[in-house]
This record gives sequence, structure tokens and C-alpha cells, in this order.
Amino acid sequence: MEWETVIGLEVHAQLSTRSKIFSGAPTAYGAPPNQQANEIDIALPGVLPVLNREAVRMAVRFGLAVEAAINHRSVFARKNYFYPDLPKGYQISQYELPIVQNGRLQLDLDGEVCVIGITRAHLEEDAGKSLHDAVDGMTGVDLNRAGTPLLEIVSEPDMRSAAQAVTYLKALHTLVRYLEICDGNMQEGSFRCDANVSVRPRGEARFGTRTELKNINSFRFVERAIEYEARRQIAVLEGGGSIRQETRLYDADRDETRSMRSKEEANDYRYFPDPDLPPLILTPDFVAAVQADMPELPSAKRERFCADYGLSRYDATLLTATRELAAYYESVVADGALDPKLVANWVAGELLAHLNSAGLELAASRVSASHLAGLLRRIRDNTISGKIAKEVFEAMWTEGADADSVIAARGLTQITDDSAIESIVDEVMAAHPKQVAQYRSGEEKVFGFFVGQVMKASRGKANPAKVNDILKRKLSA
Amino acid sequence: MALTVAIAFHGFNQSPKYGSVRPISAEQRPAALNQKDIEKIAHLARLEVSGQECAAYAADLSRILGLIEQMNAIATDHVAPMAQPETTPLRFRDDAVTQNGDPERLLALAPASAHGLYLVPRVIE
Repeated sequence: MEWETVIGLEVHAQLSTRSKIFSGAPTAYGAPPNQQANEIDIALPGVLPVLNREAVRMAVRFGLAVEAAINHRSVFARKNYFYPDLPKGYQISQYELPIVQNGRLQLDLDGEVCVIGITRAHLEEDAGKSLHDAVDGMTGVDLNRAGTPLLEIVSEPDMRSAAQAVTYLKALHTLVRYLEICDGNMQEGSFRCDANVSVRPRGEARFGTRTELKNINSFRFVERAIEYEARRQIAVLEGGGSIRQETRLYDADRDETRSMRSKEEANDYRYFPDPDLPPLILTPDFVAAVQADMPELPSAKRERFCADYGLSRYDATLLTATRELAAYYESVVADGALDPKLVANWVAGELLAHLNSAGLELAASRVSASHLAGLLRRIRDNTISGKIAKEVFEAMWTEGADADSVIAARGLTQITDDSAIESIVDEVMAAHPKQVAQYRSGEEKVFGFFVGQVMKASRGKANPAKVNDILKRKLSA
Repeated sequence: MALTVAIAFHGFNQSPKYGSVRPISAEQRPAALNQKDIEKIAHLARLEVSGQECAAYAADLSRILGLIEQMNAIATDHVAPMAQPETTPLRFRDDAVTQNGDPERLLALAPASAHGLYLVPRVIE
């Protein structure tokens, strides 16, 4: 039987506020345990939550970016469960009336456009962290993360393959960083994903029973976890069994999912409106101010890069992956009034390769946009060839110098003078009479050999176009 | 079962002027809670309840549910759902770090702590 996988994703994006969602404690990552948890975060009796305006602004910003309805009235609810890292015994979340509803995100998967529905996005607070190995026989609790603002983004079950789910997740990841509402750091848990997965015979209208996969903290693992789980479910069904609705943990080391048995009876969260927080009312002015402040979104920027710079969709997608990279690219193009495609090749090629191998963010790049523009100007005015330019780039990267000083210091200026190239060609021809005879008897493939020899003799500095012309002329003489 | 608490909350604060209390008939009356219900609720609330207490709680909670049923019988179709009796709107705070408490003092309040962590009996995942 042919099976179809059905996937919906729940993403928790940590909002990049300075302080927590309901308290004035800091949210910075990596502090020693419990140094960023105040009376409200540890739930001392009598404390009251006060909502962070910035968290609300960020949620609205997201809602507008996914063309969703912004609920002018939303309600905070208590989600009740017991765990030591949840000191209040409930998490403040939103249930029946979330701040954002009915959005959509357009994906471009191998040139095919599809739209994934976003059911809702709601504000909530994060829990703390339990450490089971820190102290013998006890569980240690670190409440630094307790009260950190999260936006939970729930998709419709609109995805049909693991690859599509990853594409959606990456698009969402790009979007929240564009909006500057989340740093997207998956290692630090700023961007976390749970996947709801079910399978059904192709053509069946009803959904199969789904399982929820937790603990997936990279794009690669999302793909592998979903693929594993779909295979597991198909094997169970084809073996005559049935799928149990449950939560499963993905184990990346073993590449498998495992049932979380402890959660079986814990699903009754007894939501009710939080009496400490009146409904959240958004005025039209508030929403309008957020709208007025929206940046250009990734999809719009990609379209503009294709249209204005004549880039391929592939290059445009690559160069708009982050706002910073797109800004760098545009600044190089503008600075040197350069050919956009040449700049795209250099930014997507040399620059990204160097950043990746050095493990650096763009902000820490050793070659600035204006230095790269300076280098590309020297290619355009024939001071150096594209090949020498790579050598110059290498030196610029190592030394942090601009192109002109590297070219001057190393004497890399291209040889464009005809007579200089002619004399090199003469020397090469004199040194290789056999090859000259071969060429002249019709073996034209030795032409490449001569080009190589001339470039070598000029230490790469001879202008390649002129070398070609002069060689052709002299060999045919 | 425990969801009734939430239902009660939604309906609780409506003024009688929006409807009149109708006596409830026997078939509308909720079934009384039995010992098993009480055990389940106690488990969800992580409360230890003895067998004797179960009977008492069953009687008390059944009466509370009866009251809720009585309130459910009030006609509220024309009343917008209410999340909160408070009419003052939610206030915002600015996104600023204003209070980081006194971590050492807060940690000292806990029955057990070590290495800056609050300690609790081991939780097996």
C-alpha cells in the first residue's frame, strides 16, 4: 500500500526581550544557575505578573508577517501540571483566545510554491531546567529560564514530507530572525520544534492517529526524526497493529523515537483564565504602530533580488538567508557600482566559504563590504584577473588589509601590456618546439598547455584574454 | 472531570440580573463523584488522600458540582463569555531589567540547595 505522511509542527521561539515576560529579571543566556530568577520567577506567594510590552509587540510583528488575524482581545490562561522546574504549578499561556490566529507562510520547495497554514501563535512563559546528574540522588533545578517569553507557533497539518517540514521550519527560522524577534539559536534552545506525525493510505481523507515528537534541536534531526517515525508507524500498521496517540522522544544518537511513558496520565492540563491577568486588549493604534515598523520580509527581498539584480532564485535565496547578509551584498553592489552577478558569486562563494570554515558570523567577517567592493573594482578595471583576485582575497582575509595595498605590496598587478605578454609567449614557444609543431599539425588541444605555461611564467599575472589572443596569433603564424 | 473548575470559572461571575435560577431536575443533576473520581483528581493535584477522606471529599465535591450545575442552568446565551470579572485593562511594563531579586537570599529560602541549584527529590524521567 502507498502511504502518505502528514506533519504539523509546533515551534517555540524564544522572544529576544531583555527582561522576562512577566517580571523584570534579565533573560541573558548562560548565567550561573538561579542568578536570573527573581521572586516572581520562583513563584513566591503573593507576587503578581506584569506583562512585558515588547513581548506583545513581537508577537504582533510575527502575526502581521504571516498575514494572520491579530486578536484585539486575547486571554492568558493557566496550564496546570506538576514538575519541579515549574514552581507555580502552572504555566501562564494562552488557550482559547491566542494573540495570533489563521496565518500562512509561503514556501518555495525546489521551485514549487506551497502555502502552509499557521493555526495560531500564542504568548507563554518558559519553564526552568531540571538537572538530574548535578547532585547525587537529587534533582537540581535552575530557574534562570523560568519566565522567559516564548511565542508558540502552531502550523496546520499541511506538510506531506520530512523535506517539506524542514523547508517550513527553515523559512520560519529565517522569518523570526528577519523580524528580530528571536535569535534562532537552536543549540541554546531559542528555537525549538515538536512535530506531530501521522500516516494514512494515499487518497484517504481522514487523518491517522498522530504521535508528537519532542526534543528535536536541529534541522537535520527534524528530518530524520520524522522519517524514522513515519517508517515506524507504517511498519506497525502493515503488521496489523494500531498507532497509540502519545508523546515520543527523538534520540539522535540512536536515530529512533521512544515512547515517553511518564506522560500518559498527565494530559489533563485544566486550563482556565489566569485571574492575575485581565484580558490583553490591543488598540488599533498599537497594531498600526507595529505595522508601520515592519522590515522587508524574506520573500519580498528574494523577489526583489531576482528582479532588480537579475539573480537566480538559488542565489537570491542564499543571499537573503539573513538580513545581515542581504545588506552586505547590497552594500558591495552599491559601493562599487558593480555587476550584481559578479558580487553574488563572490559573496556566495569566497566570502561564505571563508566564514564557514572559520566558523564566523558575518558581523565578524575579516573582509568588510567596502574592502570586497574595492577588490571587485580591481577585477573590473583589469588590474588583476579573477584568479589573482582569489589570492588577494585570501591575503585580505588573513591580514585585514584592503585590496589595493595587498596588490601593491605583492606586485600582483595584472600584465596587460601587449609587448610584455608577447615576450613571455615567445619564450614559452621557444622552450617547447615539439608542442608548437603538434599544434601547427592540427593538434589544437595543446593550446591549453601553452596558456598554462604562459600563466605560470607570468606568475598568474598575465591578462588571460590577451594571452589567448596573442598565443593564437603567434602559434598560427 | 477537573475541567468543571474551568467551566465554573467562566460562568461564575455573571450577575443574576442576566438570568434567573431555575431549579434543576433529577436528570440534570450530575452523578455524584465516586471514590475512583476522587483518586484521579487527587493524583492530578499530586495530593495524598486516604480512603476515609475520599468519602468526605466525594460528598463535598459533589455538592460543589451541584452548585455549579445550578449556575449552568442560568440562561446566559445573550451574555458574552467573560474571562475575568476585573474591568481594568491589562497594563504593560517596559522591557527593562528592573529587579533581579537577591539570588542568594532566595536560594536560602529553599529546604535544600547546592551549587546554586534548588534541590528536590530525584525526578525520574
